[in-house]
Amino acid sequence: MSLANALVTHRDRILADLDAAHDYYVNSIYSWRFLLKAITNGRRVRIQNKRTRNTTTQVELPDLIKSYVKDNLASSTYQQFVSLFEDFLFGLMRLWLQAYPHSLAKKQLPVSAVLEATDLESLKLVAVNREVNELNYRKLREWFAYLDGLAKLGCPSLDVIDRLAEIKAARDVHVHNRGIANTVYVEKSGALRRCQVGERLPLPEAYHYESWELIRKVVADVSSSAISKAAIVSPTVPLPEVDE
Amino acid sequence: MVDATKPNEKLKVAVLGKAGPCLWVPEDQVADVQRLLDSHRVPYEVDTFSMSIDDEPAQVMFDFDADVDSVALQALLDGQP
Repeated sequence: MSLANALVTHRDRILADLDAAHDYYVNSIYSWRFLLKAITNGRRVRIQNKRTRNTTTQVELPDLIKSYVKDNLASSTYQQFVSLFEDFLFGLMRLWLQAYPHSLAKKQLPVSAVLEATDLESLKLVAVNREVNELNYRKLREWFAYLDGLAKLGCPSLDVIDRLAEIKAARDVHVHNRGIANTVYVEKSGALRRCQVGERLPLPEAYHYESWELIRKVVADVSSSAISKAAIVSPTVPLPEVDE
Repeated sequence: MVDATKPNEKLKVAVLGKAGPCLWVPEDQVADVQRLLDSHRVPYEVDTFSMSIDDEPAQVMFDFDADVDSVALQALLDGQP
């Protein structure tokens, strides 16, 4: 498969997954709203969780639904958006490095990797995966600096990278710190921080949507630029692995 | 305020639990309700999505904080044609 075609496939899968994640968010909200409407119309509800032995009825559900929508659902889907963004960026870099591995020429591999490799292509893939995995531990701004050094795509802009850094830092707070902003968030977000250390970091619908929209635009823009560049030389890459 | 999709019914504030009232509004009347609430400085959140059940006109939900007086809110809506 040509690099350009592999990038198109990668972009399309990520964009479809982003749309599906946002549909899940909205459809879930309205499933809860539907239940709320039924309760408003006098329907009685009884949900028994046999695992926790808790029972929830129409008395508790309205308050719970508000919290489920504003906190749980917003946080889980937001995390999914950022995971898809990371999946996109690292997937793109993996494809690019597989097509243009020469930037890895001075990297070292353990002898065991060489001995275990079945052919040169699989060894190349080991080198690429090691490089991308190491990059994963660096800061978001460094990811884009690396990509720029690799492919010189000319996008996204520094302003957009700053917004993505805040989005990623907010995601980390929701994954690792129960949604309470910490010093790492404040430091990584810079002027774009949305609260102080110790405060709950909210995910209001407008911000949730803007984050999804920005990630979607970055995926589209970075892909377009990469596809254009790849189409000029059109090297081939092994078929990308697709997670089922 | 009359429900434009059901001329004999008024928009009704629903009070459920302690989380604050909510209000279902036909999609075409959302801007009118927003204007009314804004002019009376009533804080609210409104969905940017809509839902239609049984092919009826789509509705949008307004959500209010727990400290919003549902009786006063209903009176405000009833005062409109």
